[in-house]
Amino acid sequence: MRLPVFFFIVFFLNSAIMLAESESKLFKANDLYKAGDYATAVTQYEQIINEDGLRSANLYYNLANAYYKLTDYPSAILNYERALKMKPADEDAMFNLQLTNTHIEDKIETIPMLFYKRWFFQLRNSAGQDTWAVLFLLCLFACGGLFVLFVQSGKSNLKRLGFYGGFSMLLVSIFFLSLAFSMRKWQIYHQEAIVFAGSVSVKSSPVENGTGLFLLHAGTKVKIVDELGSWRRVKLADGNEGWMPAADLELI
Amino acid sequence: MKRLILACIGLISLISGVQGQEISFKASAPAKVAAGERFKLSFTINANASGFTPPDLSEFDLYGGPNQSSSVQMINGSFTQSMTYYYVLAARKKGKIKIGPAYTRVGNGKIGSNELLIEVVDALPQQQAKQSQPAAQPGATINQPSATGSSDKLFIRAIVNKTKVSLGEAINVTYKIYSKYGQINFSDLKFPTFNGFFSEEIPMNKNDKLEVEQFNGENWYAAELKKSVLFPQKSGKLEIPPLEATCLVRERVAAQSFFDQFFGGSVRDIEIKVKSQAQQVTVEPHPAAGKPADFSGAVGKFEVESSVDKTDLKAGDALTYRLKISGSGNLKLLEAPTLKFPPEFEAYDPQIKDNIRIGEGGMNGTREFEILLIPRAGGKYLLGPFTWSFFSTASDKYESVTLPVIEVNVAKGANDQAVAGRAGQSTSVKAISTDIRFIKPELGQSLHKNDKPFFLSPLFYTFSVVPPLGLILLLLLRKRNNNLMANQGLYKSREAGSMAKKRLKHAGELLAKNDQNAFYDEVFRALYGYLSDRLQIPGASLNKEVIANTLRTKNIEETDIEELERILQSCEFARFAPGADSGMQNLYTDAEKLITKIDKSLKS
Repeated sequence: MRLPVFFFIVFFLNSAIMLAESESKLFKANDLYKAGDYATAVTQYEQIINEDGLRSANLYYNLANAYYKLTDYPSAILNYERALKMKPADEDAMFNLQLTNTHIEDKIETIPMLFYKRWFFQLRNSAGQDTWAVLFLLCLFACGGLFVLFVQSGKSNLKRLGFYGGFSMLLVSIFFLSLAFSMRKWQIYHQEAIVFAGSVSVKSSPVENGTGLFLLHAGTKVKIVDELGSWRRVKLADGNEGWMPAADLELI
Repeated sequence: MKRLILACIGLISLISGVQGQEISFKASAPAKVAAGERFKLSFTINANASGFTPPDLSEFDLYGGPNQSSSVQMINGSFTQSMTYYYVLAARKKGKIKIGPAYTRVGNGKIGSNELLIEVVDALPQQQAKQSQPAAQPGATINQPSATGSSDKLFIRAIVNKTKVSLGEAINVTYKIYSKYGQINFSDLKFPTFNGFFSEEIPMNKNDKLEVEQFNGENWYAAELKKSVLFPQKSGKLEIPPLEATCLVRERVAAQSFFDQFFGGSVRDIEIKVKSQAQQVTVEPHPAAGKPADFSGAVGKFEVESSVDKTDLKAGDALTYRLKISGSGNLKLLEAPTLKFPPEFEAYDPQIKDNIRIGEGGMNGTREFEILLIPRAGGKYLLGPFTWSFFSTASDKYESVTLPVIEVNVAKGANDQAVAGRAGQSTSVKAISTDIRFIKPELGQSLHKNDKPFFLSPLFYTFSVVPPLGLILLLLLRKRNNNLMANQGLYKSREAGSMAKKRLKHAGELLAKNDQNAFYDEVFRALYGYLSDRLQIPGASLNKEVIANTLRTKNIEETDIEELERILQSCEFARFAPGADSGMQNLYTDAEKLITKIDKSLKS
């Protein structure tokens, strides 16, 4: 009985020490950035991500800034997008991403969304799926409590409050649940990628000699809608679609 | 009178002008001539001279002279005169010949000219000085256009001083014609256009005569046709294009007749097309390593200085900032550097002032940028530090010059436009440049592995089923409870009759014992208990009125209700006024009857 507990404690301490080490590495990389040594800062940040397997929205954001300073704009865009995927309402990341996009070759007009859709996405992106899940649970509990009031109370106005309040809480909780589901779907199934080849011809079919439809340049964001072998079917923000090799893409 | 005075003043100044001028007596002749070639030897004096003693010219054949010419010039009131004596001579043999001074007399003094040293080189074949004669025999001239023109007697060289340069570095190119003919007329000269270069022509003496020059061990008549300084504008292999010329030369032909021979033989004009060789120049790009951000293509060797015309001024007044670049290099190609002045300063486009000489070494001199600045608000401002970079051809490296910071004190103007404007309306913040926002140095959300979210985790499911399950459980419990309560009431009401009978039986026993108090009490409780259970009215709220009202709603006959009230009343009365024992037996039977009756009618 005591041995597993001991092992558990050792494991826990070990991971805590590793986390502290990575955090100090992050602070060191930030200092390098402040000193203007962007290249070394980039390798430090990348080490935390690739070797320690740790991530956070701020880490991606800082890494993207360092890439921007090294004028590696496609890598900067990739990491801003990753930061935004973890923290969709990060205003700084959105601002910097917009600025970085002015440095790349492709300018793609996004099709404007319908206003209610846009509002819904804006609201959804203001928090993570877990926040919405917790809010859903809170509303669900409130709804339950109000229904208990409805059932148990002898007074008619309290009963009425319990009934109507419980119903509205139920509706609100369903709304929060749909936000959480939408966020989860976006984070898991919505696959986007950044073009990393200097210039790549997007073809009408997933073969080498397929008809070239249009050219994409490094730094452009595409949505992956299908895949076949080493080919990916991509969709642009302006609605254009075509196939391109997976090797030229880096998933966000 | 006035006129006379003016005239006198003019005369005096004229005379003094002549006296003030230095007298020079100068001999001139080409430094190099071919043996047998005619040349001109002249002696010039810039004063009124009398008498001329020539030097010893016995080494030369005399073809003409001494001739004399004089000129008088009056320019802007200054009076000059000159006299020239000249000879046309030809040297007999090669070597160096010294010509001694000539003497003349100015006023009372004797003045001597300078000595000359003339180098005489080998005679040129075909060298025929016929310049003075063609008009004498136009008939003998044969115009013969050209295939016969041979370029072994005439060619053009393009001379390049460097064949490997870096971008923007100056190259000198000289097109020179070499000829065996003493006289060349150009009927067509095609000057090249230099693609990929910025070119500047080096000015030449217009009256350049053919000079004798040795090339490949032979003597030639040579003349420069064109001299340019080129600044390559792109890297790679560039071609300096050839110069094409069509020349007309006069060639002596064998005498065809006696007369021809007598007059010196006949000549003919031939047309020769000549073209120089194209030259290749390798232009190396500037190294990418260490290229300063402010490098704008200046190549050469420069010095930079900056200055302002004043450091104390009022807001709204103008200030001139000067940036002076001096040195040698592609000065004419220098662009105005983009200097970031404080945003409160309005900067006008720079004015360019050049003092550039073009010569063999490229461009030398200064280029000055004058920028007019108008501060719009008072305060202490720092102009700079500015840096300016160029590529040094000497060291093949970039060099940066940092200009010192200039401090300018701007006092608030009385009619300060900016301040006045600000009082009325505030100006929006001016964007000076754009940059990304700074990194987030704080930890923020802690570092974590890509672990599973709470949403849709088992814990989430557990929490989300708690409220509905709890609610259902509550409802079930409540229902069971309600059922139980309802059953209890029914049981009580069903058993009310038998309970009352039991109580009445007990009352009967008390009657037999003649325990008055206990008897009435028992009867009262039997009736009350029965009605409470039967009508399901809690005991606390039970009184006669409630009972009567409830019974009325249950359609009990009024007589029975009155009977009930009477019995209850007599019970109460007997309980509070003991002693009146009359009718205990009657009351007992009446109560028994009434209960049976009410029970019956309630059940129906």
